[in-house]
Amino acid sequence: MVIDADAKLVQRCRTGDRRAFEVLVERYERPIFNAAFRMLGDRDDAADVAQTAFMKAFENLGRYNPQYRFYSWIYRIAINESIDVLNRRKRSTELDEGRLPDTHTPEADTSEAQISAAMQSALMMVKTEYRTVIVLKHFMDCSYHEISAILDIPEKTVKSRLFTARQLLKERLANTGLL
Amino acid sequence: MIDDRSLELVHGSIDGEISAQEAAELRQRLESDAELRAIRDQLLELHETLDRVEPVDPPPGLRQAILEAIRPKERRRILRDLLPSWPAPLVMRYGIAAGMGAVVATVAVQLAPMDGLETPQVSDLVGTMASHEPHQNGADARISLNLKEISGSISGRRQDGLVVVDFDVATQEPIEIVASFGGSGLRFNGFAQLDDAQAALESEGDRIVVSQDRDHRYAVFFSGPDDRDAAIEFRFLLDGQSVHEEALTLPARDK
Repeated sequence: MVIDADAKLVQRCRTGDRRAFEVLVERYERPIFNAAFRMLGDRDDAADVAQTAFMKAFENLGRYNPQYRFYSWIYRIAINESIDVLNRRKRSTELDEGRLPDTHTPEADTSEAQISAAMQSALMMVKTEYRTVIVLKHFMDCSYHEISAILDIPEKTVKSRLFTARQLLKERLANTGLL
Repeated sequence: MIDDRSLELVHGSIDGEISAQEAAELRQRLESDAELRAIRDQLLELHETLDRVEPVDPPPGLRQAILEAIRPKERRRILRDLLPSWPAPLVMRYGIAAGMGAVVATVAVQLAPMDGLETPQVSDLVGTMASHEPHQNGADARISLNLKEISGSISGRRQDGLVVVDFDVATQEPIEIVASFGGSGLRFNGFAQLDDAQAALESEGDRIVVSQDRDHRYAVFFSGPDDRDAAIEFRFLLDGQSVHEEALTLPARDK
């Protein structure tokens, strides 16, 4: 059984230690927000998803299994929430014409920001299932095994989706001249 | 045409998920296959481009919003844990518990008038898990606490001839809150806690002292004239040392 530092914090939360949950929020606010932003392409929606994910995690701390990493668990919640938002937008297909990615970042004039914006546009043009594995692999640094656990799919499927996702992303980026 | 095994090795290599033996196998395949090398180079370029995508800063208020959003959930969890484990549906158990709390709160509030001008005994007035629920937007006055050690709010309102002060205070260390109300004609009247009895109250003349730790929510009731402003001064003590002071003033009722 893996008992890591996060699991100990969760244990403290269960005993009513409010500060322990604050530490978890401090630790995972940024990655959760970024995961949601890459999934949704919208800062406001990403903030809503992050807030909902932490609330759901807090409400369900009793169900958390310390055998698994806390971040895997909360990433799963955040990804599922993001997919719910996408479903509500009724845009699970490749083209997301109505909602352009939010590129209003403070670094909007730098080349890195342009790359980020182009990448976000390309991400929004691939199906959710492919976008999800790209987000978890490249932005959340999850292993195949962790992605498999988060999405509850076999590792073989993770690999297959990643291969396809990269091929699609490569094509989208080639069309924009970025690759 | 690239075979599946070669593709798996290329992707695995980029993802850092192949063994030394598999890396050697990939090297051999790359040496003899120009098309595979081209694919590997394209994937590496994609990987590097993805690495250049910058993380996005969350909105400045997100963390606070999250922490504020979980406060009611935290209370609900505390309350749920306190609910009797009777074999009744959850909603019914809430109702029964709230009803019991209401009785306690009612007794607490009504004891003071029976005692005339005497300050009631605190032990008679303390209730637990009372049904008292503050009006979300009905406060006549409110203090926000955003200190390093103490956060939350204290709000006050007039209701049914009483001054009701709601404490919703979270702290990392045990604290004492001294509330002084001399000069306003107020008299301590009752004390109701939403959670279990981890906040203790002592009444000393025209002041009360509440001791608490962690996150607690409770209400303190005062009786007094409603044609005068009700002013209460608060001092927050950590290890007996005053770390913060605030004042809450409820305006007199319009005649």
